[in-house]
Amino acid sequence: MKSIEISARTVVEAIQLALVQLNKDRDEVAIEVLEAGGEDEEALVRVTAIDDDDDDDASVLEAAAASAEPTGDTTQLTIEQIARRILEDLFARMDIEAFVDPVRTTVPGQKGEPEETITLHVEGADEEAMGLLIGRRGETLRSLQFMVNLLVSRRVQKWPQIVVDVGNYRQRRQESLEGLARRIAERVRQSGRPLTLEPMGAYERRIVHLALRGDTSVYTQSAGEGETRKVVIHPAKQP
Amino acid sequence: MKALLEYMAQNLVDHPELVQVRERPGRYTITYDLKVGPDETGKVIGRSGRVAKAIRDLMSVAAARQNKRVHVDIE
Repeated sequence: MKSIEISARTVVEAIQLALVQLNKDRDEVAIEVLEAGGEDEEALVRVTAIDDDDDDDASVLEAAAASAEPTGDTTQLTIEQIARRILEDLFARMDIEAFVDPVRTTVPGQKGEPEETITLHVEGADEEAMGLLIGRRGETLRSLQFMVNLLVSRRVQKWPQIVVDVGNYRQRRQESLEGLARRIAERVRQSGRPLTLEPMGAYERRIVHLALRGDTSVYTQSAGEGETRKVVIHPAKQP
Repeated sequence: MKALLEYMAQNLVDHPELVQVRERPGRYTITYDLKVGPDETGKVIGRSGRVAKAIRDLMSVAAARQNKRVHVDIE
């Protein structure tokens, strides 16, 4: 069972981060508030996944490579600072002003060893610039995250898992995909005919599958290959 | 924009001193020719061109900030 402890400025923010990290809905986890946080104190929560059946589409956490040597707090702090610095370097050269806030989370890996994820939260006042960073369906954000991971791993000779999020886009995208999944499922239920969603990446298809997993009136499948792989929502087979 | 391309390329290769970026301005589109050391082209292209795609996507953001389009050629 996956459990992570995560700190952020507020409890709500920490929970949201944890849900993104765990790839879970709010009703699929148990939440413990360890520190409520205050004016200059960060909130700390422990979020535990209740059931843990993993999809074929590997979650970002599973892909996290465990570092060869034991990492103390100092080392991890250094990677966070390096990651933040690299992202800030990129922004400076892109003519983008933004605030980068790194949050480190640790989850127990398959052998119980700690696996860390560093999430770089990006906030900026310029909405247009933030939109450019996200790109159509988050494509630019994926490229940005890929580049940051590459540059950091080259610098530190390790493969820490780094997630880049802009203006809480990942959480908002998840919520909108879940809403879409439920609306389309309703149409499938009424018409009794399957409907196909637009092509999506593995991470987004997984969100749709999970959103409808508890719905017995429909079932979901992925069809197609590569870039054009999409989710099909089918009406449940008649008994 | 040139600084962004140089930054990415120099930090992706083992020989940053061999990175060369040539800028060819057009009316709407600026073209950059990126050249890296021998045997290092793969590092700026990546498996299935993933690195090159990331470079181009981020260059497009920088270009959009200046209301321009950009084209990156990797030699």
